[in-house]
Amino acid sequence: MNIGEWVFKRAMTYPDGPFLKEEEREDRQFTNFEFNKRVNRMAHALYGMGLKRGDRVGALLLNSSEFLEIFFACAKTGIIMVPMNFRLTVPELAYILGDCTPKAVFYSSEFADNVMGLKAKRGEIKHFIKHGGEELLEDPNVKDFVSKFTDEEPIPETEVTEDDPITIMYTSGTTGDPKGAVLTHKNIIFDAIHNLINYSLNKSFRSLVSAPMFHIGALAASTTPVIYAGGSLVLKRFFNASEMLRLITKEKVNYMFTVPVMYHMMTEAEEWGRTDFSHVYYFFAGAAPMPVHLIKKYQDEKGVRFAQGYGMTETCQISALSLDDSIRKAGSVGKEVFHMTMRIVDDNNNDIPQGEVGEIVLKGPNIFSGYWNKPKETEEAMRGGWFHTGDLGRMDEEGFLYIVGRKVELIISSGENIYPTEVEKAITSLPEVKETAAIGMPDPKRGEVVCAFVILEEGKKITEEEIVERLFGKIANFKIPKKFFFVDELPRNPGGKVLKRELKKML
Amino acid sequence: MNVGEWVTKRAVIDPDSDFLKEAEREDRAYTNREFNERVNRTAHALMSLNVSRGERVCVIMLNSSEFLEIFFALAKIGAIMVPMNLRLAVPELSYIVNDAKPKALIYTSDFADKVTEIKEKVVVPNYIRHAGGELKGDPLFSDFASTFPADEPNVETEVEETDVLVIMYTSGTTGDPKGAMISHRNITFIAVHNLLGYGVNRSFRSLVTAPLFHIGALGAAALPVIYAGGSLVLKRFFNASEIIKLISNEKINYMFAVPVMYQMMAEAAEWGSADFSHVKYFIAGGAPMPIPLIRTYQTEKGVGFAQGYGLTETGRLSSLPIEETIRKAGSVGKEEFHVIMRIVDNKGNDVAEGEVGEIIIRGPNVFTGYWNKEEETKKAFKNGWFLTGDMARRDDEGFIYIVGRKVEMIISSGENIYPAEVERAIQSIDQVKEAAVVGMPDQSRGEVGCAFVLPKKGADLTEEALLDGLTDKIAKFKMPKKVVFVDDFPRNTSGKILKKELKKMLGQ
Repeated sequence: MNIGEWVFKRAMTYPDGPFLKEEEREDRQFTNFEFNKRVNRMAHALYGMGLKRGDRVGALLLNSSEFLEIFFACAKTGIIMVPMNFRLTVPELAYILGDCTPKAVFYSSEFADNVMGLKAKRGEIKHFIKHGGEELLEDPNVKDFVSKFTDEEPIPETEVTEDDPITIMYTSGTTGDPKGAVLTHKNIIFDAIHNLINYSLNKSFRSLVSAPMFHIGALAASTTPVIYAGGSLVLKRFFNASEMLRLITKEKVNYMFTVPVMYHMMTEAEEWGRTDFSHVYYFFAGAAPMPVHLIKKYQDEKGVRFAQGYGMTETCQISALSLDDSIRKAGSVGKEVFHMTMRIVDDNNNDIPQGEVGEIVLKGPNIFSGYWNKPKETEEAMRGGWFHTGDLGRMDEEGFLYIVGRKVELIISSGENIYPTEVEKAITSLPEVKETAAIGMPDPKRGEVVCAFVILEEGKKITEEEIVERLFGKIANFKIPKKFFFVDELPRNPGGKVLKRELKKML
Repeated sequence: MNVGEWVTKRAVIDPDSDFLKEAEREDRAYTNREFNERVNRTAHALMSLNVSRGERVCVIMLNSSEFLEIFFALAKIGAIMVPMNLRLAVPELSYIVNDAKPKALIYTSDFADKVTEIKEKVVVPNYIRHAGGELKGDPLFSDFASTFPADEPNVETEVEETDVLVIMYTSGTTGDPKGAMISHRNITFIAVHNLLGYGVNRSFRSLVTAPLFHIGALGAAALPVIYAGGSLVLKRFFNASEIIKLISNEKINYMFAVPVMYQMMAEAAEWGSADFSHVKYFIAGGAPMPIPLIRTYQTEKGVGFAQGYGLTETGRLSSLPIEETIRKAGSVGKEEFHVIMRIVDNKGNDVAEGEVGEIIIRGPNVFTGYWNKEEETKKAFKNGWFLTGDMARRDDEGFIYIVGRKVEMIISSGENIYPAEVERAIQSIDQVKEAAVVGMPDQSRGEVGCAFVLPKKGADLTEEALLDGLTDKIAKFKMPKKVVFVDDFPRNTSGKILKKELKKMLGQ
């Protein structure tokens, strides 16, 4: 059993049913039958480049049919897809490529500049294949490259099983270096099953995918479960509130996943008032809690309700708050998904009494298999057979889960995870800076943004603008602090450790 | 991951929602939380009888809350349930008990007589009775379980998805029943297929009237609905009028039964006035639904039928969508999502589209083998594919049609009967020299058995005497409905009886 079978089975069961269409490219509109053929061609193309089961293929792609063609071609052949966050900088991307050593990289032409930079650093990748764009670079175009291959079902030499990895997704690491979470076919299957059980997904679902698919949210909430249940997708490359509203009407979109900020932007768009949402089943909000007034606005003005949940790259969805409870239990992330076992424990791994705060630890068929090339981090995260999320939570008397913080500090900005250490490392690499401490600062739009406290080397001078300028290209834009404070000293405990709580108070 | 977690999780997620109620016993109505506590008590009770991971418990039970409590208790422990067909005769039941070697046998008091006879033949450490007056010596299930705690049982080693959860005995081609071992994983994916194929969700309220010891009722009517968070109404016996009343009163929106039962419902006095407007759809199994009957339900009640094809060894393998029931009548639909199906010739090569071959299967729902029967298990699998023995073809749109069996089998009201087991029973009668049993069409049962009997020289054997001799040897439903005495059989050159010729003699 593997998830490559999904597209094969859909082609056989409902050959003429719609699989997906792209909003930005009108010629990208495929039935189940057609999509499966395209996946097969892609699979043979991967074989043609010498890739085999267990090899990696990198992807720096906008939401597109090709992204999913590569994903399912990998699924059929046992090759592992490494979708990369295109907001990262060249050094960050280079680290990932060096870590997972793919044999081929697919990229959207929009990111050609970054890829040029990567090529200079990593000579070992044999194949770069470009998607879309003009015929400027020497790399072959996906379309031309793939079209010469057969569309027969690929026959792998050895069977691809549910325990094979299907994707490695890199997340920010606590120590600064990104960690590659290895997700298996089984993980993706059970995440889809959890969506079926919780939300009764079925083949009438039509999902608008505008969040980027390199993130687990878009992939595992708005895409794979809908494909599993037999529904169809509308892919959109960039979020634009007005266009989203138009699409929901025009394409009869009845389901979508995005972050609260974007739902908020939709209500402020000019088209909000006259948009017809009557066909919408419900929307899904992730990465941050939906403000109650926003839930009420959708409910009162459009009759649309919200499913919310809590999840991580390493686990897919962990808990679900049902539509019925979204207001009564506002602030809660709901109850754990069906096949997963959750405990809240103290530092000694003992269950804590109900109502108290502890670390959330998990077991289940949706939990990832480990971090790529990082046995030590994996062992640490999986100690005792339980995945330690690092999230602190408590449960109320009805069994609803509330997230109250992180064991290790983490800033979440518009759904992107940022560990302060990686920002601090980048700032202190500037010769003018002696020491720095980064913390999260509330932001009405993004949830949180980064704020940095900086101590300069004696006699050195640097302005806020200069720091920002020099951070460009070093760390992704979303990680660059939005506010700086130049200070002479930082509050510390007797051991010299910076007291970030005190810094937060200063805000 | 195991099936025992289902009831634990339902109690956590949705503690106050309905789990089940019984139609015949009003005090049996439980919420998710209450049901889980009952399961836990039962688990502790069974553990006190040394039922541990891998051990078996046989049950001869009517549809009841206790049936499912035992099922989920064993799931939590990692032990194995052997639900027995209560229609079987004592020698057949004894064979199964002896084969399964259970730590306990739990029976509904209605079958106390059969159990008394089984006790004489097989040794089982514990007998527990369910319901009935204080007559016999065996402890009552309710008294027994109620003394144990309601907290989650602690098992020594983790129960895994590959653990066997149920052994279901099916008729064997050679005469002896075979116990199909069904794992937690098999059950999970049988449920998943129902969610994917038919959109089962927590608004489903299922009437379980087919007996739970069959895969049809357990695998279609009960478990997927439990998995999806819906609720059950259990009924012990089928009665068309009562079923119709229950559908209205209990707001049943889903049920599984065999076509004969749906026919009887359409003929009941209450049919005309019954309100089915809340029904989502019904599932028919065991035999194809006649088109006139589908139309009656559709036009008079607005109820559609989901149909499919399945085996004890696999659960449901294919489903025909409701919107295709008339256009593709006679087809069993297309294979379930995680099932990989091929139709092959005798050499194991795929046949061309439209041609007939044997159905072979892979998938997470395919059973793990026959209990204690290595040889049969080996024969049933080839290169990892389960050989169903069913012959079928696929049309140009991919729809599957079952056309027969590799080895002859009679299906009577959803019960499988292998001619060999009936023939063996007939031949065990003194005055019989040889016997051959074939299927014969029957209006209400689909098929019934017809026996051709060659008596020994000089024997004086009547039909009544023959049937008398079979009573209590084989289950009633296996008894031939017609007996034809012959002087000899049509045979091929090597002496094998030609059953096709016998069928011709019946006008088929």
